[in-house]
Amino acid sequence: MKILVIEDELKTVEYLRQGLTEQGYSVDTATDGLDGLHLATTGVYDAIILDVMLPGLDGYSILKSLRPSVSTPVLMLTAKDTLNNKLEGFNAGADDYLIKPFSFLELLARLQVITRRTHTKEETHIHIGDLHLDLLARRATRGKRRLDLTAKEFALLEVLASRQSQIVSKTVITELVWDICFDTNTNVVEATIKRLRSKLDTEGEPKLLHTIRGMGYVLEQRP
Amino acid sequence: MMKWFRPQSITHRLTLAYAAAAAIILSITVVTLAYLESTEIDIYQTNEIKNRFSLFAYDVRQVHNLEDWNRLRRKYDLIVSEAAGRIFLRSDSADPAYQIHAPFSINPRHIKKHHGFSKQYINGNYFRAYSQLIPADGNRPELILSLAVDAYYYEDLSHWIDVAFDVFLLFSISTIALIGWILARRSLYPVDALSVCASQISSQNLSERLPAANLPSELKGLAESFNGALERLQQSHQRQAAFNSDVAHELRTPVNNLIGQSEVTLSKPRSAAELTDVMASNLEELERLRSIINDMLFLSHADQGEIALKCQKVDLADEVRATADFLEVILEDNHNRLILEGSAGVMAEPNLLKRALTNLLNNAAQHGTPGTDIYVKISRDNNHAVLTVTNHGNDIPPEDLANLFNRFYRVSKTRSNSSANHGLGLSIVKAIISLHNGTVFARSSNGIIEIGFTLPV
Repeated sequence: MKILVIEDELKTVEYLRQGLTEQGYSVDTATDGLDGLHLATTGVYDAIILDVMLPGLDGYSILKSLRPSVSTPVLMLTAKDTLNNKLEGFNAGADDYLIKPFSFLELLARLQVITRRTHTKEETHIHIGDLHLDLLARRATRGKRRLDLTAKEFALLEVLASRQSQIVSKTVITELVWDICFDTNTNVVEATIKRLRSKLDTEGEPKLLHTIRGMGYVLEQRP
Repeated sequence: MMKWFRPQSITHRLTLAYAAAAAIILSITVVTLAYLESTEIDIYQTNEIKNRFSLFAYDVRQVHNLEDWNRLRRKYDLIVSEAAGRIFLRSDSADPAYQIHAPFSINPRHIKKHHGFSKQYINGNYFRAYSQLIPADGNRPELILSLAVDAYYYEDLSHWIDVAFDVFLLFSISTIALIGWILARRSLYPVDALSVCASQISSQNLSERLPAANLPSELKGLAESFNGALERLQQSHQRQAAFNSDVAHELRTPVNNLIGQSEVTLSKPRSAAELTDVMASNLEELERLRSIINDMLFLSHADQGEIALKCQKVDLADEVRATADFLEVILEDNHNRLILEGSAGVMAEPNLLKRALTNLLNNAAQHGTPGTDIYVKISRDNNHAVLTVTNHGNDIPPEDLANLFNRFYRVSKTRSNSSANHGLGLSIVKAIISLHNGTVFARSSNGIIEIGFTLPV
């Protein structure tokens, strides 16, 4: 997977390059609009991350030049979230947008969606260590022990299990489990995780559900 | 003074109107008076000449022969010459001996038509003449006696009266116009004063008001409206200033933590575990910053009406159930039972409404007494749906109730749990409800707290 990042803020470029590379992407970068447009038209990429405010040529102009001949998915980054900006982005042919400040996990999640690299492909059973999820019967067992989960707890476990070993942010969890896509400023995710954990990881069993402080949660078997 | 020349000037228009009204009324008056005056003078003049004439005519009627006539005539010559050209006497008769010549002539037909009166110009002066036929008596033949009297005095009088009237007219009109101008200026003076006052108001002295107390009633309304606008402007300015300082204050704490913690950590070599811990802690602070920034942006856009509503018909009860479903764990952890009563359909943007409800119910769960019930009551009131969230808890003092929906306002000043609660929750509720043309309210008494909103149906 090859990603082109067109962004003029060097710190952002730096962490995006590092983060995406660590996630297995190969990353090209351009720090002004003209370079960006050149790379986007000459190179072959699976997705382009495009900032709106750029020296030389702004993001919308680049997008207009690309479409419709280049159909590479584009994720726009914008500091302004007025409605006009969003409309302008979508009219110009952006596939999705993120408002600064955004979280890297969120960017990863969006990137996966626009490159159609989803992990939940027709799976009906998930195994992680001795945890087994039957997605059709909506049943979870750990070893011989049947987990007595509520519907939301199961949905949460499914979201985490289907993204095995990936950090899943609270925002993503809120969106996927409860279908809520705004900042709720509540402790619902923490509280639900706490309940799930008490049922999932009991005394003496190896822990599967881990909290990555400040970022989110990951479900994996750790040595 | 430039105002005077401006066609739009009220002073100009009023002055013109005064002058025009004065000109019309005074002209009518003066013309009437002048006519009456000239008529009066004419009557006076007529009477005078007739009286004089009757003295001469009486004498002539007593004359029966030439000898008497000649004597009378000598007397008349004397009178006429003494009058020094101010009167002339003429006698027309078939007998030349009974004729008296004078430097004017008469036209018998004209005289008859004007009852004996005629106008004469003698030596360039204007005279009035009166003629009468004196029948023959004794040896004296019939004769026409004419008396011409200098009318200069009356002409002069009438001329000067005309001049006086003209002068009076001019003077009056200009005086009235001047008075009108002064009056208009004086009446409009408060407007100028207001204008000066208003022009001195800026963001630095928004607390100043126009002096409305001593204004004429017509201007009082204007000044009061202007002051009302200033009041609202000042409030919004103050809110803005307070908001800015609140923002700075709210951002200061997390930024301070970030700087301090990073400095402390970097000042000595640390283990990877320690560094990870600090990074995670920093990330928590940063998340808090992000949340504040996003909410402030939301509020700012809502304030400026920049949020487009894609309204659709939603059932408030359904939305409350969905929100309760989301908050289920929180409610259960607090042992709060949620009781929903009633339902109403409203036009709203579902996501925004859900956000408002989440904030309201989360607020009730956070501040409610654990183990008590939370009631959500939905009712209809005329054209409005009213949703009230009632919970048990510590009463909110009245001064706090008034500020409950203000940004960054917290009832308890403690910062416990501040990462989840940055004091914008209820102001977001208010912003969302205002976007939908609804209102919010808050009541508190006897340990019962009611917070809710109304939305147009």
